[in-house]
This record gives sequence, structure tokens and C-alpha cells, in this order.
Amino acid sequence: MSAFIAGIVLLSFLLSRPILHRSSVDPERMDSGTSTLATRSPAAKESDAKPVCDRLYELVCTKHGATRDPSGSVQPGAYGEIEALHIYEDIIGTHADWSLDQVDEELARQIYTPKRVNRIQFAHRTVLHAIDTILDHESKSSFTAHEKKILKKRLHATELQLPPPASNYQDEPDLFTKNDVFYERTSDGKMRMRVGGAYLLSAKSWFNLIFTIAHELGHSIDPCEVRAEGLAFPAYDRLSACFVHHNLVAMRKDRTECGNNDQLSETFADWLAVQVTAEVLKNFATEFKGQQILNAVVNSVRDLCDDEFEEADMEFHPSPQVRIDRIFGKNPAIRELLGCGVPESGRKYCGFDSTF
Amino acid sequence: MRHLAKILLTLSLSLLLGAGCASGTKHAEESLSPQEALVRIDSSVDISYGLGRNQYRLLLQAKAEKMSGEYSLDKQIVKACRLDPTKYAEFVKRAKAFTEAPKRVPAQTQSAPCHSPFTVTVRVGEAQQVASGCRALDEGALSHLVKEGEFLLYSKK
Repeated sequence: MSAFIAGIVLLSFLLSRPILHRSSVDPERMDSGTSTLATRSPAAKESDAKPVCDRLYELVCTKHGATRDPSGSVQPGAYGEIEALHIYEDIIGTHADWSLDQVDEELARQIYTPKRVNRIQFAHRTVLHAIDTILDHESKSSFTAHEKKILKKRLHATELQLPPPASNYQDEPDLFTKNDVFYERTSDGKMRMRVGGAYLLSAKSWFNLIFTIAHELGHSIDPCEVRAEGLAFPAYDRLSACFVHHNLVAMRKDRTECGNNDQLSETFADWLAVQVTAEVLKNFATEFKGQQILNAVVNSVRDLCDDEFEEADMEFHPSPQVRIDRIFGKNPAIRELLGCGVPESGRKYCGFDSTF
Repeated sequence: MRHLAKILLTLSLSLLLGAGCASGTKHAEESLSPQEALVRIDSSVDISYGLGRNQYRLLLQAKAEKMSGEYSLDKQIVKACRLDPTKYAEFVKRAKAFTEAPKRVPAQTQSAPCHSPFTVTVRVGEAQQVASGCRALDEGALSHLVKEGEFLLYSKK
């Protein structure tokens, strides 16, 4: 019996190594080895990228392991979480006499290093500037100057909170080992964005960072948050109607807008994040080669893939396929970067001025 | 291949946990109230919560004085192990107190959408208590409960 158990344990150990054990790949080291940028100018050659135009989801989500772009990689699955929990376990093991607070302080110090924190803060500033610019470029028929001012005020009022000290997450101490970046409005109405420690360990790609932060910051001005503040913008109604028309928001019998079974706020956050990411990708496209651009595009949305995706997960989020193929992949700027040209005729990409 | 790995892993963990807790009669000699005894032989704390794009689950349970716990992210098991019986019993108490707190508001009744809903289910024998809410409006109560559960999972037994 014991031999049987030992055999099973050994077999499962070998098969599950990527899940339960430290990877031998050190993303920090990997990043430092990819800092050289190519100087060939044009963006992706059409001939290089054309095969991906209508199968972006497949390209992004069927790949195993990390994809490396010139800014870094994105480790799929629970890599970051496992790494963070290993650090946690090491600290608890080494300092068995420490209190929870002492353990948290050390955990925050080891994960939220100055280099990583600076990078997040820079990405946050980049995203804020990009969304401001997107709003500035919207015509007067989309937003009045007053409406733009309200939206920008909400964006800038959303505080990016990062440790150390660990006490910055005193009311959410489990975040040090979580793989999430998220926006939330607290019971006293304050808007904040927080970054889980595991995310810092798994997502090294600048483009993933930009997409993720833009998505979460986008929630501060999503149609449902805006509505909850008692505000109503005609441009938002047009955009929401376009999402519904193009099935980017699932229509269900039990859906209530901004309530149960509604994907509107998540679709909006994705839609805004795609525009921000496309701008950032475009800025880098003059220096990247075709494959490098492709990898950067892949990494932007790499963590939207979900092997275990089920119907129940779709209450608020569209499926990964919709998010990657249709919200991200149909964006004209992304298609241009991939050399895919304009989407099929008659299917305009949604915007604040959509009439569809 | 991954599914096979998961099945084998689950099987092997069950066998390991079972084998490791074979001397389960040790606590029967302690002086425990019927409720405390029931916690040790048939109870569970199941914490499910969404955060950002991910779904988390922390499941701690006692079956016939064998205490075990597992922590999963998007249905992928990140950690599974045995638990210290005394600390587990304390944690069940904490979780029960959490579900009994009067101010908890179900996630679906918020005026604004909840991006981080949670459900905590505590079962002791046949009795079950459930609390649902929204993490952002919970003033850190859920996060502290999760943290304590994780600490229990990662502490030396």
C-alpha cells in the first residue's frame, strides 16, 4: 500500500511541478536579458501578421508558458500567486515567533521593491495621461466640456495605493499574495486602486501592466459607476447601445443594466483599456520588429485567458474569446499594428459617437 | 495531461492527509463540549470570493478529526495540506462570528455593482450559516478572515 501511495505521490509531483513548485525561470533575470530593442522601423509587416487577424484568441490563449516581449513577460496561471505564497511561507518558517503584522511587513518589503513600485506608478501616470488624451480628442457632440471635466476628476480622484508600509493595506492584508489589480469604491465613497503582490511577480510586460491598469482605472468612469453617482451622459448611452448591438454585452433574460448578470461595466473597462494599450503599442512600434510587436500584443491580454472558464464566470465578464477576439482584436489601431487592415465592412468599432 | 495531474494530485493529497491523521483518537480524550467535538469531526469553512479578474476559494474542513485545507485560484489548487486541529477549531469560531455579524449586506443589493463579491459558508454538523457581501464595503472583515485562513494553511503544523 505504501509503495502504491509513494508511486502516486511521485507521479503527481512530476506532473504537477509547474503548478506547485517554484519555476526554475526567474522572470527578473529574463527581463534583464530582453532589454535590447530592435531598430527596424515599420510596425508589423502585413505578411508576417496576417494569419493572426481572425484568430487572435487562439494565438494568445493556446500558447503554453510565458511569452516574452522586449519589455518583459507574463507568466500565465497561478505562477505569481505561488511565488508570493512561497515567500510568505519562507518568512513564517524563518521567523516562527513573528506576529502577523511583522510577517506582513517583511512580505511587503520583499515583494513591493522600489523598482517594482516605481514601475507601477509610472504605468499609472502613463494610463492617466492616455485616458485624458482620449477624452480630450472626443468631439463636442460626444461630451460637453463640463462632462469631460467630471470624468477626468473621477479618474484623478482614484488613488493608487501601494505598500510598503504594509499598513497601506491594513484593511485588506490578504492582497500581498493576490494576483490582482483592482478598482474599488469604499463605503465612504473613496475610489482607490490596489495592486496584489502576486501580480508584480507574474506580470513583467509593460503592455500587460498598461492594459491591466487602464482596465481597472477605467472602472472609475464606467457607465455603472457614473450612474451610481447620479450622472447620465448621452455618449455613454450610445456606447452602451453599440456594445449591446454587437453582442459585446451578453443579453440575458435576467439581466438588469448595471445590476445582475450585466457585463456592461467590464466591457467598457476592456474597451477603454484597449484604446490606451493601442496608443502605447503604437508608440513602441517604430522600434519593434514584427514578432516583437506580436508578442507585445499577446502579452497585453495574455492573462485574460482562462482554461477553466465556465458559464458561471460570465456574470460580469464577457468570455475570454469575446474580450480578446472582439473587444481587443477588432480595435482598428490594434488591427493596424498587426497589419490586418480595416475590419469587415459594416462592422464599425464602438465609440462614444456610435450610431451603428 | 493537466487534468490527469490534478486527479492524481488530489488523490495523493487525500491519501497523504488520511495517512498523516491516522492517530485521530488523541483529541477524543480531551474535555470538549459536544459542539467543540462536532467541529473536530464534521465541519467546514468555505470562503469563495472574486477579486479583479480572479475567483478564489479557501476551503478548510474537518472529517472524522482529520483537518485539512486547500486554497485555489480559478479552480486551480495552489496549496493543500493538513491543519493544526486547535487552530482550525479557533478559525471555525472566527468564521462563525463573521457570518453572524449583523451589518453584512448581500452583494446583489448594492446600489452600485460589486466588483468583489464573496460568500462565506460555515458548516458544523448539519447546521450551516452563510454570509454574502461585497469586499469593498466590508471594512476589511473578509480580508482579515482570509488572511487568518491562509496563515493557518502556511503555518507549521
